Amino acid sequence: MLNTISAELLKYKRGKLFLFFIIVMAIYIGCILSVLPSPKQVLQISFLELFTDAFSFVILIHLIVLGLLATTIFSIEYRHSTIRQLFTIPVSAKQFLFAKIFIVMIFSILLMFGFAISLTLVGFIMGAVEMTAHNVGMVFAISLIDAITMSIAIIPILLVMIVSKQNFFLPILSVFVYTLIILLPNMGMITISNDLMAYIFPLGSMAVIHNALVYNSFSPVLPVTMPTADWRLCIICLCLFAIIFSVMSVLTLKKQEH
Amino acid sequence: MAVLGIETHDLTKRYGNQTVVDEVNIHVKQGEIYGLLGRNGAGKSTIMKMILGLTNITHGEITILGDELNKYPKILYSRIGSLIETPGFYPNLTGTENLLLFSKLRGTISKNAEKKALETVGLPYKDNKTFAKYSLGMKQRLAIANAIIHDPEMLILDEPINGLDPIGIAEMRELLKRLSTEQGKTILISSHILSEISMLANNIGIIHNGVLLAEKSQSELEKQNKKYIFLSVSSSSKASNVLERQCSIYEYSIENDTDIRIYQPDVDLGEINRTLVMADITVKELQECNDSLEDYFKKITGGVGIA
Repeated sequence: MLNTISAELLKYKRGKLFLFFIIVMAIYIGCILSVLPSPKQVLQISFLELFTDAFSFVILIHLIVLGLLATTIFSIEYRHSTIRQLFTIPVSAKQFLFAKIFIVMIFSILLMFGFAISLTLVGFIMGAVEMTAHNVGMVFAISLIDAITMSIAIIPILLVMIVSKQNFFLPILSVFVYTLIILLPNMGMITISNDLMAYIFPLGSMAVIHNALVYNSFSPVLPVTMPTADWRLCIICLCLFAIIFSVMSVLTLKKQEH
Repeated sequence: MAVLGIETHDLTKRYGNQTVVDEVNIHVKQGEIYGLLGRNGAGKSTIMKMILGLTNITHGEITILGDELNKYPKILYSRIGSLIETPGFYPNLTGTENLLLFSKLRGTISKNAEKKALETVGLPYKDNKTFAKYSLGMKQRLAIANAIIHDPEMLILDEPINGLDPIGIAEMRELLKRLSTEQGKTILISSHILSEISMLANNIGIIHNGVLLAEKSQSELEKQNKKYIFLSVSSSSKASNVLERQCSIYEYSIENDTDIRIYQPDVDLGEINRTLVMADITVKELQECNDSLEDYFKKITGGVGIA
């Protein structure tokens, strides 16, 4: 598996991944700056409020970015017929899938760390309050956990990417639809309780885990409420979805003709 | 009885109602080159893909080096090097980097394997040129290098000379012959180019519309191929009359308005020439020939040649 991962990393040499990273980071910094209150509105900026406000934008962008990245790294194998070479080596469908998930996870962690560093720097420059070592440390820890849960939460759409082979349209559409589903109950477009959503939809589970982490780390300094859905059950649901869709993806890869 | 390199038993592939490979039984001897010959779309690539696990088998079995493929796929595939259709590499990486990547995935490869494989196919080691800038011939060479890098016992090569220039084709032919004779590698090669298969293969399988029509060794083909006299004249109909009446030749076939093939043994070429000229028929060409692989191919496929 280590060989598969190190070979997977080599594939992106001279690629545009670094440029992609820089662009996404610039967007994240833009998100942080856009939620900064004007000095007229508040006397002092709260570091924790800055984190929660910026995160509500970053989470949507991050999920779409991960989806686009996953689409790209899967489709190159079909587009350049390298999947044929890989499977005759033989690299197993399982190794192939997990190496890709690993790359998405690494990218997700780097981006979320980039977000946490940017947030800390902006907070420091703006002289934000609540910038204690504990709070900064917790922001980094939550960012790391969110990065991992978000990369696990997009596993269901990997199946669409595998089925679509080198076709970009369907996976990209599914990335947007999948990400926006989480907003539907809040927008009043579907009547479903947030609790049920948390158990039947991976992004719902991910959101509950994030909110529980924020509550346990920053309450009562930050006025947040504990989610009513059980976060432990959400972890189980998220893992179950990941396992089910990973198995389906592996079976699809095995059944596919190259 | 010696263990075969590759053996298929009633190998069949269907897409819905369409049968693209129909109960094919091929027998590839170890250390020999087996040429799978057929027109485009005959089913050659599908057979190779089924052997390599890239396409699911509808029916039938594959045995590699005496072992059933579906029982030990991982072990058996690691003993095979392959090239199927277009070479698949990462365009942003150089040839050496691409080989390094696939070597990593193979796991157990010696240190200088990439250098040795590139030298064998005549490509530079640690060149800065990325795969995207390679010519078709260079891509094909790199694919061969990737197929031989782990010193496999067996090579499965689908149209390996595609895109190579004439010198490249000759070099590739020599390389494959050397790999077979000096290193004892078993090679299954497909092509629609008759002359290449004829020059390379010890055994030939002719496939047409998914059916293996014949499987013969080169020596069997040589024995089987008829000797004949090729005659090109101003008028084949007039010449046939003269041949029958004056030379008592009845075993012949008229190919077209000008060409005749005489299959009757022990005929005197000088006498035929003299008789036809005396009958005021111009003789453009008169020579003893052997049936070629193309003739045999045409005969058994019931159609025109392929190259």
